Order: sequence, then C-alpha cells, then structure tokens
Amino acid sequence: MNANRFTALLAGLSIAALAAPAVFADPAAAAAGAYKAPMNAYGQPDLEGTWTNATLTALERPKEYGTRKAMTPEEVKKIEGGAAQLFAADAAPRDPKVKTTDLPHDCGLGFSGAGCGYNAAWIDPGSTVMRVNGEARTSFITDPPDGRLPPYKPGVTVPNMFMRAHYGENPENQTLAERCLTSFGYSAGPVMLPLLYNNNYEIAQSKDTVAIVVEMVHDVRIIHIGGKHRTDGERPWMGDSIGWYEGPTLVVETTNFPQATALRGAWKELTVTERFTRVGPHRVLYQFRVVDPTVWDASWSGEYEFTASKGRIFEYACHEGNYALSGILAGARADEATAAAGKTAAATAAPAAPVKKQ
Amino acid sequence: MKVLALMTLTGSVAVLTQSYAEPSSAAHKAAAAAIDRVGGHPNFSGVWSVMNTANWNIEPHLASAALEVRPGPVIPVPAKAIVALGAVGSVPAGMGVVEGGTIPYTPEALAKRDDNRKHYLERDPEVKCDLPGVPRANYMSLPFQIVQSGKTFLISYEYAGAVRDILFSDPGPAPIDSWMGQSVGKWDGDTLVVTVTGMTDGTWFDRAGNFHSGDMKVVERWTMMNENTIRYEAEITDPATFTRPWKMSMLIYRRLGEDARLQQFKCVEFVEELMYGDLRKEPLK
Repeated sequence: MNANRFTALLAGLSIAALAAPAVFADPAAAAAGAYKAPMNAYGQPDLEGTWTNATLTALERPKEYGTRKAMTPEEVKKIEGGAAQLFAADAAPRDPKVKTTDLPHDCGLGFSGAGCGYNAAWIDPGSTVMRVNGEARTSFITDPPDGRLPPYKPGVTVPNMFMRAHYGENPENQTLAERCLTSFGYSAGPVMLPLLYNNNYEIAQSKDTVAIVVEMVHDVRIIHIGGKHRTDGERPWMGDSIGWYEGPTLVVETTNFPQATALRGAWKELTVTERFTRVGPHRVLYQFRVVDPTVWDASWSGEYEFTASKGRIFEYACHEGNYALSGILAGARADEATAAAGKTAAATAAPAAPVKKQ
Repeated sequence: MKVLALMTLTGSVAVLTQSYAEPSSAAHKAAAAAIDRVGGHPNFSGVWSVMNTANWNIEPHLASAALEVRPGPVIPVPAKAIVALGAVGSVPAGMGVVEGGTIPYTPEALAKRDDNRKHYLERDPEVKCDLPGVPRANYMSLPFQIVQSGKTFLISYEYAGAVRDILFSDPGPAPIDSWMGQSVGKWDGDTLVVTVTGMTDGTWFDRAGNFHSGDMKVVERWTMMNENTIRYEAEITDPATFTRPWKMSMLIYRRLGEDARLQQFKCVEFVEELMYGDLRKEPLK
C-alpha cells in the first residue's frame, strides 16, 4: 500500500488537474464588491506582492462537467478532500521495510524512476479548487463553453514534451526544463499556468515597467508599459510583452513567441492578451485570451485568481545544481554500453549454437 | 625594466581610483535635488550598467594576452583553449575598483587566488554560466534593470536571469545559502544601504580568480549622483579570506534611449557543449 501511495497521489492530482479546470466572468462583476484596489506611488493600480496560482483546477475542463464552469459544493469537497487525504497519506511515516524497488516506477505524466521522483514534501500543486469571485471553477478556460481548447486546424501538430525524439542522445534533445532553460509546462507563460511546484510569482512596478519574477527557473518577465512590439523578427524567451493600464486593470499583450516555448503548439502567429485586476487585498484576477489563426479557427479565453503567497520567493538555482542532465546523458551512454556488451556476448556465443545442434 | 614600469603604472591607477566626487559635495547635492523620487526616495528605476572592466579584474591591471596563460619560450602565452580567440580572448586594461588598489588577502587566500588564475578556465563560475552573486552581478558587462516603487526595489540582471529582491523588513539570518544571497535594505538619507549575506562560496568577484568564502558579508551603498549616474560602493567583510574589511567603489550609468531595454542572456544553453559535450551519444571531435 505504501508503495502505491505516490501513484495514488499523482493519479488523484492528475484527475484533479486534468479534471479540475467557462467564458470570462465579467471583470467588472468580479471586482464589483466594496473592494477598491489601491494605487501605487505612480498612480497605477497596485499589483505588487508575491502571488501564487497553485490550485487543483487545471487549464482544461474534464469532459464530465460538460459546459458547466462552476463546481457544486459536493464536487469541491470530494476533490479537495481527496487531495488532502492523498497528501496526508504520502506524508505519513513510510514502512521502513519498503525498499526503493517496491516503490512505483512509472506514475504517468512523465514521472518515472524510484518513487516517481517526488513525494509530497517536494511538491506544491495547491490544495484547493480555483475560486473566481468566490465561484469554484471546473477549469481555467471559460471560452469555448466546454472549457477545453478549440479543435486544432488540420495539419497542426502539437509535440508532447515528454515524448521527445532522440531522448538522451544530446543535451539539446532534452526538455527545456531538464536543461534549466524554462519550466516544465508554462509557468512563466504567457499564459502563466501552475505546475506541480514552485507556483510563486512576484510583481514589481515602476513607471514604465512591470517585472514578474517567476520562481520556476528564476525567469523574469519584463513588460514595457506604453512600449511597442519589436519588429526586427527576433523572438525572445517568453515572447515580447508590452502593457498598458485600463482603469484598475493591467493589460499585457505578448507576441513574437519563440518556437521553443510554443503554447500548445502555437507560436508563430500567437498573441496572448492578459488582464491583471486586483479584486481583493489578497486576490488578483488573471484573465487571458489566446489567438493564433494558424493553429485554431477560434480564440480561447480563461481566467483564474492569484492569491497572496505566504512569504517570499527563494532562489531556484536550477542550472547550478543540475546533476540530473549529466545523469540522464551518462545513464543513456551506460545503457548503450550495456546493450553493446550484450550484443558482443551474444555474438561470441552465437557460433556455439550450431555446434551444439550438430 | 618592464616589471618596474608595470608596478609604477599600477601604483598610479590605484591612486586614481580615489578621485570620485564624494556624495557630500556641493555638486552632488545640487544634482541630487533634480533626481526623480518615488515613495520619498530617489528613484533608481531604469536600466543601468558600468563602463569599467571590473569583471575582468577588480584590481588595477594593464591589458594582457589572456585570462589564463601558460609558459612560453620568451613570455607567457595564452592557454591553448584561448589561442583561437586571438585578440578577442585578451583582457582589457582597467583602473580597478578596489579602494587602495589591492585586496587584503590572507597569505593562504592570496595563494589560492593566484592558483585560481592558473586554472581560470575550469574554475570561474561565469564560464559555466552560474549565477554571479553580489557584488559581481553589478559590474558585469551586461546591464541590469531596477524596478522601484514606493515599497519595492527589484533588481533584474540580464546575465543568466539573476534577480534580487531587496527586503526592507529584516527576516533574520538567511534560512539557506544561495547564489545571489539575501539582501536587506534600509535608507540612509538618500543612500540605499543593502546588507547581503547568506551567499555560497561558489561565486567570484571577477575573472581574475578573486574569491571569497561562504561567510562573506557585503554592505552596498547605492547613491544617485545625478539622474543618470549611481555611485556604488561595497564593503566586503570576510575574515576567513581577508585580513580586514575592504571596499570597492565605481560609477554605474543609466542606459538611455534605445539602449535602455534589458535583453535576455540565458547562457545556460551556451555552455552545454562545454559541460555535457563528452556525454553526447556521438561526442564531437
């Protein structure tokens, strides 16, 4: 049972993640309470602080919810209670007789190896279903109404980050996250999406810049307020972001995405528009709209809320401690050497067989 | 003769490093009055960079052939791995930024610094694209951007995406060492004083082997001389490495117009051949 705890944990999370994520809530309605967002020293909406988007709700909605964007209290209780149970089970003392070989070695979603790499102490995927203006959500995506990505246009292919060709052959064949270049998934975005851990962000504002520090792989998004998109054809990491303020809302428009960080297959003609609105002392409403006419016939949109993080962001020095990449490559070489030795042994033994038959 | 001339020149530049205007001067006060302010403090927001060669060597130095050399038939010549770079691999001269010109190493630490120089290519953390630490991050050739509001002071460095968040409420000792350390700031008049602790011993001061231990404390003083110039000072305290606290100081300049845009230098991917090339399925020859 112990050996299966993490499998169960991941399975539970994946259900929530794949299961857990309708059209934008009206931003005005979301912010319609008595709360009045503070302004900073520059007279801008004050979005500064350390925020997290960790949640059991995911980008896309599980099909069983259909076009229903809100969860019932019973559904919330089941998901949040299930996650709490799984975490408690994984955090409980493990039977000392359990060996690493007894642990699950393939938990899906790319998690493999003894214990699938992580236990509860190392992950922080959130413990609650996403609330937007108090409403428990079945997905981040609100448009299309089924909460799922629109159909891809014919001929569009979406590479699976965990199924890479030539895995283990060269460092460049590995995922960007394994190389400490960016996060798994799309933590820095845009669209900024939560992951298994490190779902913390810091927002800092000056008169002409908004900086968003992304904990995962210590990326910093620099948004040029009042700026113009570059027209030189260059595509920086995380794209080219400009922004402006509309009343209480920071609007950020990003284009010029690099292929390396394609968003669900979109990059060349991708435009992401994000809207950040502080809707409470500890809440920032985050809304996004994704357009790429070469990938989808329709745009798609969604929303969630950041909540204030407890504490500050600590340094994630990924590359400096990246023993995994050399381990992956060295492991692949060792596997090749073993396989080659086996072939040699088989070849050496091969002539003996006919002799035996004779 | 050559050695004597070098020493004379070295002594001269050491004196010149003392010639900065003091923040208390009348000229500085007049310029300070015109500086933009936010939250009652000078507004450092903007893109900044040094115009010195401190990242090559924080001590005064003449130009030289390479960061790592080997014995030649007449004089030392560039290490084999640097030869192909020709003039690009050479070291530009600098006035130095160490007050007094020389870092007060203990004899043991000085020997280690000299040994670092002999093994520069394999030891300088910058070669592997490691995070640079403080104070080095401030005087690399790449710029950094300060994003300051009435309550936040964030420094985002182009090099390796390094970042520092200056804390204005002291949380106590850093719970764990880090490459960029823990920065706690307070305002001393119009000077931002930042105490940096909790750094690993993995960072260097420059490309000349100058190093420190994991017990180093850095006290930075950031003062705007005028709207486009910062006087930066850093006092280094590290009894395990130095015989006394010592200071470095330099000017940092605002980037203007089209230069005032921070780029990205994710050098991690640029060092993969260096760090992992031997582990390729088919290593390059």
